[in-house]
Amino acid sequence: MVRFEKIGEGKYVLDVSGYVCPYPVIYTRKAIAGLKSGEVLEVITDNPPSCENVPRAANEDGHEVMSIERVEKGVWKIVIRKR
Amino acid sequence: MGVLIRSLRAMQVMIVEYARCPLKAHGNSSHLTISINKVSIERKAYRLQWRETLLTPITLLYNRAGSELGMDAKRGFTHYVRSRIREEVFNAIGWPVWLGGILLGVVNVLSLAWALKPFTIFTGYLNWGQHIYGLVGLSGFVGLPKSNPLFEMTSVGDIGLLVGAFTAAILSHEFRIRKPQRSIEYLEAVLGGILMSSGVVLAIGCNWGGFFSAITVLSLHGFLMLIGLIIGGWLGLLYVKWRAERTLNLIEITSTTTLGTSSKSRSGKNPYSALIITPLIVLTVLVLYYVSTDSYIYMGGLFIGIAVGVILQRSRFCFATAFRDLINGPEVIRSLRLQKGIMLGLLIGVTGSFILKYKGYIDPLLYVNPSSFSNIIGGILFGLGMVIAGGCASGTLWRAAEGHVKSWIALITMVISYPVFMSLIKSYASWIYGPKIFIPYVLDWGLGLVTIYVMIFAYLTFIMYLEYRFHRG
Repeated sequence: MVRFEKIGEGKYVLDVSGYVCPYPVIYTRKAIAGLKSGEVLEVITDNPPSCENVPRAANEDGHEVMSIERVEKGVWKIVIRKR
Repeated sequence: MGVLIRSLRAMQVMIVEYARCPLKAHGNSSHLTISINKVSIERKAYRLQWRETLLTPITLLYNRAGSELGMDAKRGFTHYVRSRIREEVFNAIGWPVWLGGILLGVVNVLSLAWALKPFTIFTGYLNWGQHIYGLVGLSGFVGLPKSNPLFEMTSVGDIGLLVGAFTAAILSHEFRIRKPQRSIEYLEAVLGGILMSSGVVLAIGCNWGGFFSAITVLSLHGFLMLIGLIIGGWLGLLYVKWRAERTLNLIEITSTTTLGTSSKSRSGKNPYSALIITPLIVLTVLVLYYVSTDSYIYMGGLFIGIAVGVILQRSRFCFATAFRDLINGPEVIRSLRLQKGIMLGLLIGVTGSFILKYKGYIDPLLYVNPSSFSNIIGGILFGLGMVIAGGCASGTLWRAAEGHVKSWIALITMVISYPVFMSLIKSYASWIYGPKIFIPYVLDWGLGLVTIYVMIFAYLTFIMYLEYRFHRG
């Protein structure tokens, strides 16, 4: 089950840990599609290639990748703002 | 010495300063916020064309570079070297795929020269599987293993791959036990593993023995499996899309409560850092064992496997992504890049193997396997299976070493099912398998080599066309 929740005003978190390619990208795209312009999505992933693939997919779709952080060994947080 | 240290320090400062420069992601934004040590800095961005898509993840790397180099004047030269290795080799962005492809090609040639075989994987699974069946007294059905797993070159290579990928994952802080969120993924691993095993039996090799290494040894069956892999990968993409559609309703904004994502952001102790000891112990024991039995040839095979493991893990060399997203997949750019990496590896491998075979250093017919329609069908089954299982033969191994539980299941499934398929196919082998076609014997050495180059370049043109089509939109 993918966790997709609102964590604040205009701020959402999508937890795709446990999922490997290509699901993090697919779910991120779906989650962004549900957001309003300007809202922020934090994607939590533990799949190393997704740190490259998710930001690239977001960029391709014209969204803004604000940061990529390692929050824990083997877990990353990618922050995307919808355009 | 003082001058050297000072200049190294100056380099550190430059690196960190560089990290503070805002990097432009290739979107339309003129500003990109980068958080460095939890402080967001916004500055006017400038365009850096090189390594375009690596730009965003690179901030991650340099974030760490800043904190690990730490401008700590008390740290010595060893610390400096260690952090440099961590940044350059075991960094967070991984190696570029083209580098991975080139290195894999080189290692494959080394393996041919040293172990008299290109790098393959599934024969090792056969060996392991036969041992497992032997333990429960079912040897009669699947046959007896040829030798123990430490004296069978492919099995040694597989062990090396696991050790190499495990070490690389730990050193780059990417090791973690990753459990699938849904139990259907275990079912996928089993189904994908069985599909891959059956595909390997028909194609006479996995994505290595049947494709990458097959083309490397100038055998036609590699190109036939390539056709199958493209079709199988595309079928896999259909499955992935179908599955993603089905889970559409799962993605809903369900609550507005602030849930503990902050618990995720605890930094600090890595429970796995002590694990680095494990591969070191395994390696030491194996090396001592080989030295004591005078089996340097297998020790070399082990190191070839380790090299492959490190390369695959570090460049995230995933054949499943390469064939799944080729045609309009969600990660099409990554896939096209991987395909180009694979082709680079093939160009190097083909050249090296041609030299070895032409000059008579190795038997020309080495690892040349039958080519027929079954290779294409095997490729389709394997291609579909690797997408469903989330990794090809090598992908399953390095992901297993990275801690993906799904890959463990896929690996076990392949080990258990492959010997069964092997013994099932035996009685039908004569009418399923075609003749062995060694391209230089059909077309003469020179023309054969040129033909293989032309085929690889034709495929590269196809990849370039897909890329063009994607960019044109």
